[in-house]
Amino acid sequence: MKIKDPKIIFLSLLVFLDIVLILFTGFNALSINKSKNMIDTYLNVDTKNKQHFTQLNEIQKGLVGKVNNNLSEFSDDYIFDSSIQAILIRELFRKIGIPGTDYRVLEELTSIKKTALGELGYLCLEYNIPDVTYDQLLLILRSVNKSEQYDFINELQVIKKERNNTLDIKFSYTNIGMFLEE
Amino acid sequence: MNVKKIQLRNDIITYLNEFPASEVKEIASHVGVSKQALYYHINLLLKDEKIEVVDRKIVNGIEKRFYSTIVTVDSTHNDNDREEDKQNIKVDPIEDTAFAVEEMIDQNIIEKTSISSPIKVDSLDKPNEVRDISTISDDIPLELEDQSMTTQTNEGILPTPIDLKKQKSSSFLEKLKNVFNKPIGKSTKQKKAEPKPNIRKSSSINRKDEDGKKRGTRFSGEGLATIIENVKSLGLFNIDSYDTMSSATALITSNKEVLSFNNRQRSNINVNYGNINENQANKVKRNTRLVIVDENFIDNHERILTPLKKQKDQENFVNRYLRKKYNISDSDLIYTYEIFNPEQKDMYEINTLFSRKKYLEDSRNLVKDFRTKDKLFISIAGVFSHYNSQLKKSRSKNTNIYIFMGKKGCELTWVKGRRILYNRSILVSNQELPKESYLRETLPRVVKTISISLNTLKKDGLIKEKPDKIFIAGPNATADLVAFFNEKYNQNAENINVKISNENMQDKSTNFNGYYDTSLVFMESLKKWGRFRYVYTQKEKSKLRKAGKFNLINLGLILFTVFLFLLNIKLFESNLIYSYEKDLTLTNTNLTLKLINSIKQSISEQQVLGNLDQYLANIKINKQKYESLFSLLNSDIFKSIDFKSLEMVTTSTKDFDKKINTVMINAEINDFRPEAILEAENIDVTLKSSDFIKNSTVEKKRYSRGRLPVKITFMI
Repeated sequence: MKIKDPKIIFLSLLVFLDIVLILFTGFNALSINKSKNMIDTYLNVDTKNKQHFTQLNEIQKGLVGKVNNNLSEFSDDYIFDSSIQAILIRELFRKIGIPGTDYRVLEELTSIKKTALGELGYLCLEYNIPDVTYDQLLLILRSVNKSEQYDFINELQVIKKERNNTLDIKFSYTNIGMFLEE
Repeated sequence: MNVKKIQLRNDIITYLNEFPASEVKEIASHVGVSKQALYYHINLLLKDEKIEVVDRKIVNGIEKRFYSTIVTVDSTHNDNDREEDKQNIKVDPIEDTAFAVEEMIDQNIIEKTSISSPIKVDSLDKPNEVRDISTISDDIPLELEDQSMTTQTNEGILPTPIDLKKQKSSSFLEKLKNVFNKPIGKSTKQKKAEPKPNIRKSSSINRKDEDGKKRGTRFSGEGLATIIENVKSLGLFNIDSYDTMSSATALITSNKEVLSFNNRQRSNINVNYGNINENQANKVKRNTRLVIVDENFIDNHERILTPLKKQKDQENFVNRYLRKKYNISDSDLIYTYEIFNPEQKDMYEINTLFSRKKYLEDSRNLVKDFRTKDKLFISIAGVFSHYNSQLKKSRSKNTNIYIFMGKKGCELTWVKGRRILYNRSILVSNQELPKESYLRETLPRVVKTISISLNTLKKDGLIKEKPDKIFIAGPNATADLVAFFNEKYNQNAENINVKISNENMQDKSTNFNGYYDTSLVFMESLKKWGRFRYVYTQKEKSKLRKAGKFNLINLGLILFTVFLFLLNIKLFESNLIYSYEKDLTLTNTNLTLKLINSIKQSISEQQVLGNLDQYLANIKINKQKYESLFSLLNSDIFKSIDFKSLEMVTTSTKDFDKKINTVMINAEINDFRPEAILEAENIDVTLKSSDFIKNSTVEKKRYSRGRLPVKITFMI
């Protein structure tokens, strides 16, 4: 049988074609197997994720149902830079009969947190008021307490003067509010 | 009307009496009514048990029935006559045959004819040539050459009447006389008068066992059998058929005329006859295998036992053996052999047919105009092996004798399954003889050859009693011969020449010098070509077999490739689907993850807002703490305290946890020493017991001048 025999050439071609087809079959079979495994893994992960999602959904429902009263009140409070804020405080003190005093900026307008409602910030001003009576001290404290805004006294130092029975007070006043969006 | 019907039925019965085993088409053409109309009368005659179905044949899934009249004991006078004839022509035993023939010759019953050349039996030489007797004659074991049989007769002189005195001692001669006295060269219709069951070749192939029973009911699995037969006939499982899917035969007659026909063509067999011209040769396609059977080709048969297993060793051995035994030169010897397993262990029977190259060259020259690629040469013995292998399994295992009654001689072959047990060519003349002369010359030799071969085969243990069947074919095979062999050997002899039922074909057959129905036998034999068995030469056969194997492997590979291709389509489709499903699942998973992240973010924001709200709430609470602190400082707990300074520090603004205020008070208790100390301790206990105040300490300093300085620290 000569090598040029068309039967052998045809046979060789068929063998070659069969090898290619077998390889392709193997590739397809492996690919299918791989896909099947991947599908199983994904389905497994997805099932667990969906369970997790259901639990998270429950948590979210609980959170959504909760009413944040303070926040709803606070959302209208805006904070400005120290100078404007100092003016507002001065006006507050003036209402209660305490003359304007000098102040020191302890902390300029600083961001605390960014939320969905906006950016939350604060600033801190220090006041030093000498010769204040005890009643005046109480007035200052009450006026701060009664303020509708969420501001508070951070530090308070009261020193009694024996000489004239007055008080030297030093306090740092913190203002919290939403940043005014530019 | 009734008279007409009765007349018609009488015509049918008369026809069937003359031509038993006829089909409806033949009866219809005889009585001159349509086939459809005839069925009604046939059914009535069947019901009245006037006629019966004697045979059935499935052709292309359609059942053909053959009808005969029912023979009763006292039916007709003719039947009685036949019985008497049978008693008169009682067949002699085989042993008597030789004597009978000799006696016949001695008494000059068989007259000398004009056979010009001496009769040579079992020779590799052709009658027309100057024979090289020394080559074979002495060594051939079953040399039938008997000079006493080599007679000269004058053609045209009819045999003398049998002497009544000699009748007793030669009933065989009487039989011969009957045979010879019957008119020959009948018309087509006259031929029909010959007993049909013995003429129909199809009874051997594809036909159910002849058990003589009436077949009133249809075989239940007939439909299935038909399907199986049809599938088999496609030749799908025959490795040779993949070569070209078809083969043609060129039959070279004794007059060196060529008949060509397609072996697998079922209908409208296209037989060409005469000298080959270009058009005729072109009718056989180039890719078709051409099987060449030459009636003049003479080969010899030999069974050689050898332990050699390898094909090459066997070929070398056969070559050497034949050359030495028959003194044939290497360049002149051609042979082909098949391997069979004899009874002896570890031995192989090399069943070989061999001849001389020059005889094959003659055949080759006659078919040189055929442009076919593969030309396969096979002798008549080989053809019979193919024929026998196609018989029903139960019958092909039998040992059958095939006798080819040619124009100038005859060939006798014993075949068991596919295995040729014995083969002898008997050449009578180098000219075509009239049928009567031919029979007169040939029959005694055939009888003697059968006798000798039977003895040889018995001696070799290849046969126990007698052949199971005698099949007769060839242009000179007649119904009379069948009858003769039936009588002679008390055997079920059969003419396997194909019955020609189609009238057009019958007309056509007359143009082929009696070879038309013979060619159909060859077509039947070779339509399912089997592994190139007994094809000359051995080398070419091996090459063809190898090619056949390659074809089969190629076919298998094609099927495998198709299977793989379909599988790949399916797998590729599945792969795409799975890939899509994977992407879909991945997308779903990612979507769920995104949802989780989104809800987490939402929760986180809600938590931040909640924390912020809490932070603001803490601021509010812390504001109240300032007021509470000053209320506490003004309470009875500190009534004895003289405050000097107060310092309060709140946790960092950035701290979102609850606001805690650390308070540090510097003060003095103005009292006597023990009371002041007690008061300080009292304050300490009171502060510690309070729920409002945490981590309270009262640090006492040194008492001096009625004053106890204290440092009070606590957290609110």
